[in-house]
Amino acid sequence: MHILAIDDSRTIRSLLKMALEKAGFTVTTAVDGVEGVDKFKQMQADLVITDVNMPNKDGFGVIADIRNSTENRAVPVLVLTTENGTALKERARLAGATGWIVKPFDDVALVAVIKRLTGS
Amino acid sequence: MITDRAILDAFFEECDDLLAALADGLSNMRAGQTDNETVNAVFRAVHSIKGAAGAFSMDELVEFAHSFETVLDDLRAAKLSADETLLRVLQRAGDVLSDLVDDAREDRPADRARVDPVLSELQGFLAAEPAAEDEFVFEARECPTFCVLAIWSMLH
Repeated sequence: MHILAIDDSRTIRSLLKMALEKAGFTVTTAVDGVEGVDKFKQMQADLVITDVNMPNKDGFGVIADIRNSTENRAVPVLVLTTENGTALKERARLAGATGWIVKPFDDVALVAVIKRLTGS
Repeated sequence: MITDRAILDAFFEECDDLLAALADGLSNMRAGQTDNETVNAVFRAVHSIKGAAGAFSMDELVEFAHSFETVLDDLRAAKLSADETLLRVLQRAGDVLSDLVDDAREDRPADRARVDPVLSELQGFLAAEPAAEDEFVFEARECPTFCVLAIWSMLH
């Protein structure tokens, strides 16, 4: 199973990569929304995890591009962010996010959610 | 929660870069450059420090960064204006944030006598905000209280 993780914090990218690889997933990372969408188009992601606040293209832009893409547009997309506001959650849901995870994430819970969403 | 030393070291390296970007941004703002791009860069620096610090349970750093970024968020949403008073508080907040990163790096408690006055000043700019509604939120059992998951797919 191949996961695309998009976050501008290299610490968060490292933590995600460590947690997800430990769980047996293959992980590709991207440093912002633009690189994230580029990599999404070049791979067959089984799930995407994206931050919201990023330079160049934010998480909402990433979700919109994925949902409008010609291939793999139904991929589960989890928003990973420190924000917990109802309005932001609703915005992400309307943009097409599958779920919302508030940082700091718990490795076990994150993996459980991913397995549930991907049926693995 | 996280004990991996290499990742912790990488976090502090990243903090140094983010604090440098923060200092540049604040300096530009004091020079009159308060456009969205500049404020966004400052916001993202504080936001990234907060996001990663949370993973290491650096609570004092997270609490301070949260108030700091909320003021910056209100500034970029034009709920606050970048007047001299606010810019002075932001500058002091940048200094305190840098101190808090150093405290975390040295694994020592923060100097509350230095942190609290600036924290109060930041909070003084913020109107009371309603707590997040939790109709889309469930608390994962295996997860500590700080970790909240909202999974719409399970509800729809």
